[in-house]
Amino acid sequence: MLQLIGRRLLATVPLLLAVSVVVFSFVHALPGDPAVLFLGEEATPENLARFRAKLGFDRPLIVQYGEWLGRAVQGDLGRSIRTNQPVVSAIVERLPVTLRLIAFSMVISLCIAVPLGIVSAVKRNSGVDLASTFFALFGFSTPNFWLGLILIYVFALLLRWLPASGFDGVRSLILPSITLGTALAALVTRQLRSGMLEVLRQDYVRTAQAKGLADRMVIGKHALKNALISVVTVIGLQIGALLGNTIITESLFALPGVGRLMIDSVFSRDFFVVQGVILFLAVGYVVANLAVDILYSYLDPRIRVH
Amino acid sequence: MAGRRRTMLLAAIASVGMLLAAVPATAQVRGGTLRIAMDADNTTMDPHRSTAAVDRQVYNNIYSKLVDIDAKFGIVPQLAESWEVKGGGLVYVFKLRKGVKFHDGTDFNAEIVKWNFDRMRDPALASPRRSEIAPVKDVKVVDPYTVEITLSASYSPFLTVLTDRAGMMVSKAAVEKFKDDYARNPVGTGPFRFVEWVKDDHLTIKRFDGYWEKGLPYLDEVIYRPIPDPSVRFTSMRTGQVDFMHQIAPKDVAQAKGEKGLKVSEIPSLWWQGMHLNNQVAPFNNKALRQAIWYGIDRTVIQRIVYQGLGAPAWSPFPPSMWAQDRDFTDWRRDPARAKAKLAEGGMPNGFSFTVKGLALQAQELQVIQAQLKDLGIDMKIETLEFGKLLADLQGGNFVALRIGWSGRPDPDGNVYSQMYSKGGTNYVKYSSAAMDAALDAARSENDQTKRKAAYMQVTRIAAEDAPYIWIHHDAEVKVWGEQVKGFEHISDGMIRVKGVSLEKK
Repeated sequence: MLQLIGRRLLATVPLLLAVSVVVFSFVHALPGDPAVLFLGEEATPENLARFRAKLGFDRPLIVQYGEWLGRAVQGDLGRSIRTNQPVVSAIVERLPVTLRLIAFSMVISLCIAVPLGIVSAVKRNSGVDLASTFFALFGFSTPNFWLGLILIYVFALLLRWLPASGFDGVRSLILPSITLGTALAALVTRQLRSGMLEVLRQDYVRTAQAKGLADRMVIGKHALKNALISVVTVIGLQIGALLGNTIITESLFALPGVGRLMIDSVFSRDFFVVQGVILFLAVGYVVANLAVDILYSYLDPRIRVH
Repeated sequence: MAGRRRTMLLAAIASVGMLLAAVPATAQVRGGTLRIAMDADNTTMDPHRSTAAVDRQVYNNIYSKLVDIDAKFGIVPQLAESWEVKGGGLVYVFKLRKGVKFHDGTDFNAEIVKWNFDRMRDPALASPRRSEIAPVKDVKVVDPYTVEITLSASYSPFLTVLTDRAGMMVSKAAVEKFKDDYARNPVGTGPFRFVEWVKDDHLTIKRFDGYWEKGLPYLDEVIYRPIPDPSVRFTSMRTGQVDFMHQIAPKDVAQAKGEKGLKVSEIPSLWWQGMHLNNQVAPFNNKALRQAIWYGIDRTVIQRIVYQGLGAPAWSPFPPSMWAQDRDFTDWRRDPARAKAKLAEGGMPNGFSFTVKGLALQAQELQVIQAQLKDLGIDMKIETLEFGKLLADLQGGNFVALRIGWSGRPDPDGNVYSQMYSKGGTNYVKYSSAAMDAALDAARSENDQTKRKAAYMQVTRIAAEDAPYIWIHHDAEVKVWGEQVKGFEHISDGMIRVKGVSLEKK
């Protein structure tokens, strides 16, 4: 297994290299000039030239890329143009917030989706199934920011149960996690329902039932474990979407996370931060998918990742 | 240029005297933590390097300046107890306050003032302040508490410039100790000292016990929290998560006014919003066609509908808060007959078409203008852009018409000179008029306010005739706070000066 992980991580090197090229060129192809945005109303031609020279933006792109990459492999992603903070420490500082947000969203969405998916499969076409279908449709088609605003309106403003913004312990993550996790919950519910329906038709399930096993055992152990494979696949695929949606969720709830760091730096053309964050997220995505692959072999010993 | 989140709207009518009343010196409750919701996070704590407007909010509480402005834009003493202008406006002699300490315990004196100016003028620092104090030729220490500053030319906005970042004195010892990291370890002489800054989460300052104004400040602590979404920021205010709010969306102002426990103050800001017309390319290299737009827009309707009645229509770069505004000027109202005549004069009797670039945020305003111009046969197309791209197009001259605003400066010079002087640094519309240059120079070199006002009335008239820009609106400066907050003095520069503020227990 260790060998597998090592090999897979090694295989990500060319991938990350490609990501770095794409990110670097996209960032520099963006219309808009960081010097102009940074200097704002004080952007005299003299100040602009000095600023560009200071950051090395007056040199050929390929030289800039080479230098950036050379430092990046040594773990130095440069400094923010806006705040002068090292990019690595900016990311590390915000990571706990984003990781917690993603973990909470996953827990919340699984807590909703697993029971709902199972019940709607077992009791097909019942009221519960109908309600779950409705929930899935709603959850998947509701825009993130709108759901967030509604949750804030109801739970922060009307009921005053939870804070509307900021990061102040677990309570402040409840609304953002629901906002972020609802779409995933909807997707997993549907996926699990169809996975369960398929598994429940299999011979071994009928056999288990025939030999008198309790429903709880049949569904919980025999059926669910096999139905989960497709669910894990969906979650793996959705990690990217989840990471992307943290941008909206963190900005809306004023959480100091990586997503907000990224969007703010895109708007201010803080090139080094944008490059650093995207590279970092790419690594995160690769690692998450590796974890999914490993989980497969646990769920289904027939799958051996080579 | 304009403000990143263009927000505030504005009101021509200063809110009723509730805020203007002087803060009573007695019976202030001491202690407590004031939580302020901001629209954006700070970028640096070094005033000599700052370019973001939001930074100034914190600076005004951790740094003292040589001088400050009052609600009527008068210059009042701060670190300079008194000053004298000599040599026909070329020499400023400042007498400094004695016994002032920095938060790190070092002394404030004339040497420090000189060092601060040297730092801002050092090309290696590339300070944005450098161009603001460009007229400064020499800074001389006369005695430990007297500084003499010599200008190369008479420059009437000079004192007002010193009420902002260029007048903020930073600790030499701290800059030498922290070097580049001074930006995160600021040391000033203000009523509060910097404590911590967690990016995008909060910035905390605490009372400085050695502050030079005895008995101030009242609060123990102030926490700034950046909450970018305006409706979430307002909800945080309504639910009591914060005590004070900066930048409210115009649509929320009526709600805030009706909400129990909230106070709303609305005064004219320094902003102008408007359309930049490229004076060098067709169709707007044709003065008559610029004038057709000038008379074709109904600014009053825009103020009522788009800005929900907040703020005031704009016909010049001078907002109603400024003494330079010509209040008797009326030649700006929509006049379709004159607009048509101007179209004919410009050789386009049946109208013409052009594209205006702007932010999505301003789409509503642009659509109203579009409808107004359509009546005259002018077909205005709207292209919405993201802020960075819009700014790049503005500065690169890549536009025919472009909708953006200007955040304004307390001295009128800051709202006009660089935008309309033929060689002005931000004259992106490429406007050039000898009469305008002469009027701007006259206003800049004259120190007598009555004479300056006459020059600025001239500027207003020439600008209305040439229409290099179409000024549309002056925003309101609106602040919202909980009724437990006492003693806030609201000034048009929008700064939240906290030293006189106290918190009453609910």
